[in-house]
Parts: sequence; C-alpha cells; structure tokens
Amino acid sequence: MAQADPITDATEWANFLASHPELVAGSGVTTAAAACEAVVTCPAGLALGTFALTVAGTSQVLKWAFGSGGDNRTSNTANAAWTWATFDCATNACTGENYAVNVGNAPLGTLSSPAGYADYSLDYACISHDGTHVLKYVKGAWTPNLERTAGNRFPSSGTVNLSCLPGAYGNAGGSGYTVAYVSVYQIPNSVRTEPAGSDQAVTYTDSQTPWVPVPLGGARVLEFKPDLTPNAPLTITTHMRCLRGDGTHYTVDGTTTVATPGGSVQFTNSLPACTESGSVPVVGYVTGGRTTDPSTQVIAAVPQTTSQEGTSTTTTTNPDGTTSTGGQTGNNPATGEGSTSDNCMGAFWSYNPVNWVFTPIKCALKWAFVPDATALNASISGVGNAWGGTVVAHYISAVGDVGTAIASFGSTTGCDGPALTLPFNGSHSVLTGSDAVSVGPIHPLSACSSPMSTVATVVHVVLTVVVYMGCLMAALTAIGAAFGYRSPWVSWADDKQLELF
Amino acid sequence: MIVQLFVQAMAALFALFLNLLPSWSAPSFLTDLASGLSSIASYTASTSVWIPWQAIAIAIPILVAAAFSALLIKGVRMILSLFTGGGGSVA
Repeated sequence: MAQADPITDATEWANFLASHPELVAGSGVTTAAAACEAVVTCPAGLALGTFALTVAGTSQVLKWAFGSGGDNRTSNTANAAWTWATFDCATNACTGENYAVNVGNAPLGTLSSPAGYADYSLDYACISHDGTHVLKYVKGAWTPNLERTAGNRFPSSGTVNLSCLPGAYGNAGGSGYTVAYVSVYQIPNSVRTEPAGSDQAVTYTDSQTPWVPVPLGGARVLEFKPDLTPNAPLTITTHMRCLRGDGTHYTVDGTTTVATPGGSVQFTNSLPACTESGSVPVVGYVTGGRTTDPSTQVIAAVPQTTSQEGTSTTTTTNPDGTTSTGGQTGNNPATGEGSTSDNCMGAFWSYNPVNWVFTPIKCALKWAFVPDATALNASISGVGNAWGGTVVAHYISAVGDVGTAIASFGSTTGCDGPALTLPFNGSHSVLTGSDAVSVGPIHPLSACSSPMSTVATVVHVVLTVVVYMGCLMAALTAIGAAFGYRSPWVSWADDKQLELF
Repeated sequence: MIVQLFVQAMAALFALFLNLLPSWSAPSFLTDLASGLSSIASYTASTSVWIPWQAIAIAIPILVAAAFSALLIKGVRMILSLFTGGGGSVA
C-alpha cells in the first residue's frame, strides 16, 4: 500500500476534523506539526475498550481510536501483529468501523485475513501522538484496484502489508507513538466483480425494492416490466454509491434510459464509476419511475430533489429516507408567474420602447445560447463516468500510483535513523517478571544532535552529488554511445566499449 | 438551447466513443509495482537522513529513460543505414 503524504492542506485537515467531532483543534503543543495539532477530547459516554495498550500516557488517543462502536476485539497488545481473526464482521457490519492498533515506534506489520473475508476491505491512517495531542495524521493510501479487482481484493488468505513509518510524523524528539487507525468496511456482494460474461440478465418488476443492487462489471441487462400502468413510460437511472477513505460517501448518478410507452426498459450500460481518487464503489443501484405521473406512479424511491426558485440550494431525499442539503446548482429560472417580475421578460413591461425590442431579443438569445447548468453538468459528468471506466483511465491511474510511490521516497524528515529493538524481557530472557528490562527501540544512526547531525548532512550532500553526477555521466555515456561517441571518462577502457550501445 | 443541445450531442458522442473502449483493468504487475515501491520507500525512509533516496529515486528513472533512448536512437540509425542515402553502418 502506498504511503500518502501527511495532511497539510488546511481544508483537508478541517474536513478530517469535521468528520471526527470528538477531535477539537487545540493548542499548547509546540511542535513542527503544530498545523496538524489537535487535542483529543472524548465525548461523554464514550467507552474505553476492554483491551489496554502498554504505552503509558496514551489513554486519550486510545479512547478516541478504540472507542468506536463495533469493536469486538478481545486483546490487542501486540505491536506488530494484528489478525483478522479478532474481528467478527458477520456480527458487526464492517461499514467503516474504526479500529486501531498501537505500533509504538515500530512499523506496523501485517494484517492476516482468514478465509471468507475476501469481501472486506480497509483504509488506514497513521497517527502520531504524544499521549495527549495528535501531532500528525497521515493517510494511508490504498490502491483502488486492491478493492475492486477480484484477484487483488483483500485476499481471502494471506496478509496485507501496512506501514506506519516509525517516528516519522513529527513526534516530539522520538518520544511520541504511532497508532494505526484502520477503518474496515465490507464490500457488499452486489459489487462483487464477476468474470466477464457471467452477468446474467435480471428482471425487475415494478414491485422491486427501491435500491436495486446490481453487479459491477461490463454491460448487463436489467429490465423493468411495466406491470402497473403499461401505458406510462418507464425510466431506469443508474447510480453508484462510493466510499471515500475517511468513511464518508458520495453518489455518482449515471445515465437515464427511457422506455417507449407500453414497453419495457432495459439497462445495458455499465454503472457509473467513482469519480474521486481513492474512493471505491460500495453499491451500484438503479432507480426507476414513471415519467408521466411521478406523484402516483413512482415504482422506486427515486431521490427527490427540490430547490427554491432563485436559490442555489437543493434538498435531496434519498431512497433510504434520509435527506441531504447542498449542491450548487445555479439559479433556477423564474417562472414569471409570481408577484415579482424577476423573469427574463420582466423588463418588457415598461414604458421604455427600447425594452419592447431589446428584452425579447435578449430573452431569445439567452434561451438559445445559455445552457442550463444542471444539464451541462450532467453531460460533462456522463463523459467523466465513461472515461473513468476505460482501460486508458485504469492505466493512467495505475501509472499515477507508481509515480506517487516513487515520489514517496525520502519524503520523511525523521532524524532518528533505523530503529533497533532488543527484547530483553519476556519468557526467553534471563530476566523475567518484575526484573525484566525492556530495551526499547534504539537508534544507532540517530542524527538528531551534533556531531552526528553534521556528519549526516555532509554524507547526505556528498551522496547526493555522487548520485546526480553519476546519473549524468551514465546517461551521457549511453546517449553518446548511440551516436558512436565515446565519453572521455570511459576512454580508459577502450577495449570495453559497451556493446549494448 | 442551441448550445446546450450541441454540448449534449457532443458529450453523448464522446461518451459513446469512450464506452466503446475496453474496460480492462491495469495489469497486476503495474499495480503491484506501486505497492512494492511503497514498501521499499517505507523500509528506506528511516535512513533518509543519511542516504538521499529522493535523489536515487530521480536518478534511476532518468538512467532507464536514457538507456531506452539510446536503444531507440541506435535502432533508428540502423534502419536508416539500410537505405542508400542513409549513410554507413552504425555497428
């Protein structure tokens, strides 16, 4: 899994805090990560889990990290190993349930998944804290295809590597700790990727439940039969509900297919793709309705969107009964039937003869050449959805992930160097019980203070120069050899000209 | 309405064209490559104070690109040398 950059964007950080109301942006910690500082305050009634971590002074963070509902783990004291066997997604619907594992200053190891959990996936983050304050929150980026592709989905057996870089998130002088914050969610069967050609034609009738899950994949046929009012045109609209890394959802609307009156309507297109990077499809569904008399003939709970005239706010009633407000849709055209004359032709009704000519022309031109913002957005989003499902988009996304991975090299600024843990305590030690001595992670190559910091800087600069000069010389040698020239720095090896070039 | 119809028509045509493209996923080696590189990056991050991994990460793609460019140039020159006016051998 790729390691994403820390959240440094103020808006993104604000969104994260907004999605976690238990966090309150605070002050009092002087750290380089002050921009990402947050004071953890546990809401009333938030229960601490039955497990306890061995890191002193971390209860606040752990309350936050472990306090989410659905956490049924019985123990979690290991620093490295964390198994899926401790989860029971059959009892607790793992739809964004939050778990955490303390990794101290050691990298998080592997997550093992037992058989049967192939339809579960996860997102994770790494949190560095000093026991009271969250110093840095770093998203762990996932590879979208890990969740989407049957072969690469969270494996039914085996392990998945997570990595929380030790001491790399601005912990104060190496005294902080890192908590891996893992969100586990279940991929419904409805979005299970089936092999090509295995999709079966599915027939839905008017009595179909509102949210009709459909499988992902290629083209398929869904048929709405006009059982109720055969003479009323039918429509089928596709939707995709997508899950972001922070656990929030958004919906992408697809195409609307209209049947001829009295006939049936078939949906044969692909479901719309999730548009935001890093998000994954949760459920694809279709909604249908009668276009002639939706007030009485709606056969499925089509989201109802209402807006006030002259405003830019919409209220959407979702199929599950919830409502959401928002969305910039632009000003709605006035009808001109109200008490105000704010419609396009309003200026016509005046004593100025110029308006008698100018206003109708203006309105006609406006009608002809000013597109409706909603329709325009629908057209553009349709193209975007189509693009998102093409092989080109998939390749660009995969190459982008490679670029992101390459860019992550050397992105951390920790000065501790590699950590070395010497577990002198425990059952294999000569010292056991209360006499056990725990030698925590040591950093033999620490360059946080002089003179090692100076040495490290000099070594880093020298190696940088060597790498760049070597790269330049090697590249010039290769290019020059292609034209038959021999670089002066290889002339000493006349008999060893690179035959490759 | 005219502009809107035009945009809708063009968008529909473009979407139709895009829908004709295959929807194959990227090969696993490409997606695994990103995961592998990320793992390497996480392993090497702790030594970044000493070793310029970022410079190395830049240098390696440049070297690979230079090598492929050299091969391409050499191949083009070999092909051109087959023609009378193309000059001599590049062997």
